[in-house]
Amino acid sequence: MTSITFIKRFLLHCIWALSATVVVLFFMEFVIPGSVTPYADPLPWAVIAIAALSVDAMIRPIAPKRWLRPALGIALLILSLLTISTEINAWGRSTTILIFVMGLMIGMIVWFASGRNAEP
Amino acid sequence: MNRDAIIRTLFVIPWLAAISVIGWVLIQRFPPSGTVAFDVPFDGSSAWMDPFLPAERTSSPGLQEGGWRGQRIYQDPVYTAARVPGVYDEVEVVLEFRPVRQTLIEFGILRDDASLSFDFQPLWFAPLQEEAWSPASSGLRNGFVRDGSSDALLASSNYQKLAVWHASSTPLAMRDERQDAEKTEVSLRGSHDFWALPSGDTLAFAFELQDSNRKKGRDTVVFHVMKNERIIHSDAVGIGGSQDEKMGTVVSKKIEVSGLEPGAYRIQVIAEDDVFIRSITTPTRRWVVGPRLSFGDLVGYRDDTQTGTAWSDSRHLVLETFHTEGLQTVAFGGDEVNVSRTHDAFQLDRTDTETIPQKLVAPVGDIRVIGDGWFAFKPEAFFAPHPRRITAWTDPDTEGIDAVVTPYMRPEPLEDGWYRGTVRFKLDPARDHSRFALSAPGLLTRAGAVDIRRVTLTYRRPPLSASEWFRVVRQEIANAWHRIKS
Repeated sequence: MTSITFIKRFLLHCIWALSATVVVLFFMEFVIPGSVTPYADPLPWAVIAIAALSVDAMIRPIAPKRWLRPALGIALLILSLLTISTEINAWGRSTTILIFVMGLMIGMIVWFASGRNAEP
Repeated sequence: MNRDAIIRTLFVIPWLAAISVIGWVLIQRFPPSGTVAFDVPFDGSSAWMDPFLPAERTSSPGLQEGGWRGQRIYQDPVYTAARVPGVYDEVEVVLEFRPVRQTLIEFGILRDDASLSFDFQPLWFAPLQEEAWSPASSGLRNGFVRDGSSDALLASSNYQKLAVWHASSTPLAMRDERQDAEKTEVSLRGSHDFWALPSGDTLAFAFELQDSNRKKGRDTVVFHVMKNERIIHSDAVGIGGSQDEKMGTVVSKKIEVSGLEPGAYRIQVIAEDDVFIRSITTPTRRWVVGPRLSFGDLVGYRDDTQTGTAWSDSRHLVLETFHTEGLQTVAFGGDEVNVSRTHDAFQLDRTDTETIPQKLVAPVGDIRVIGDGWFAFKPEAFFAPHPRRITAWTDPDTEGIDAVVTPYMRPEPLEDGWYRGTVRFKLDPARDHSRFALSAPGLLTRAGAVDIRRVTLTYRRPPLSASEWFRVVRQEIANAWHRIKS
């Protein structure tokens, strides 16, 4: 394994571990409001996770599926809506968290579907 | 193991980090010690406790005039909420506060959302900070005793010298000797609470009642005899005709209960303001009325006026009349007030330092009086059925109070007039938030303030064991299910 290969694979594990952690934390916060956010704010980490998953899906060596770009667009649209919602506070906290989790899940699905078996 | 296998083990690091983060969050939620504390600078930046509201009664949290950070309260009551970090049994709230021209502060937790009922605890009472008072206890009673007085006063029923503040006192255990009945002519209007000692083992009160029929329709008068807020006897009488328009006939109703233990009994007379009590006949020698005493007029009953006379240990009275005939100068001890307008409350505060009941004279009657003590129609009939309750207007020096039964703990003095006070409350484990209220009666009138600069919230439950873990998790699941359903 070359150094470049190692770094790329290590980064992939970091992205996946980060995404899984954020999903778990969001689930905890959804089920027990106030169990996570007073100690740690997972929102910025969720943004990083979705962005990293999306970027990884786009730069995979195999051709992305046809639906990849529209799916990424949807994920970004949801993130935009989420940002607006937190600004104007029109939605409840649980709804916001649920939408964010959905965005993250879409990002992870895209990541899997676009090249799960491909070596980076 | 080859080099690639060793390198692959490094891929575990991000996953270990992820597990550590989740584990750290879980430990915050389920601390093994069962105790978690949050030190909250009261500048609005904390996720654990909100600033006090409503905003028109407080300053904006943050930097305040004078260079300190926190929040200033100008008017009471004010409310706040704290996020409960899990399933806990008790919260200890330590407040760093500074009272400005405010003698009494209480801090409470909301117990019932529907009735907005708060469980208040004493936080500050300026007179008890003085050196003349010392913490003391006697039997099961804790509190403060004035220097030179006996600690045993706390456990006594000497209500002339005793006051209570969020505590109960030793019940009165007295009775009068069996004697002949005596009649007292009165003119009292509407509902009244009478407090009396039994004569022998009997409580007997005969009321002469009259329906003035100023409002058409029959009236019902309900009587309850109570001890310690428990009804032990009830009765009722209907007076007046449904079509009567003139003053009705005088109806006599006797309430008698025998086999009573010594103690203070309350005879509650519930009636509309159309009903007048014209006389009271009882063998009891010590009986009082209060805290409401409504002298009625004699219009339609007699042609003259009846002076309202009573003796009271009240320090503060509020008087109000509803008829121009009731405009008069009311004297109480050495003080007086001119009730010069109808439908307007006039305050009469005693300025003397007498500890014996003072004479109240309303020359033409027809006036409603509400006091912070009791009223007797003869000076020798006076007794205090309960100790006085500490209020923001209580002055123990002038009121002859030598002992206060209270769970109050003196706040710890800090620098520049700041104090650190502690209150503790039981928690409902099904609640995500605790709602608190701070009460400082009379704050606006005094142009005073209460400054809050720091709050420490300490939540407690038993240290985690297998059974405790099971209880906490079960309660968390129940709470989560309740939240999702709602």
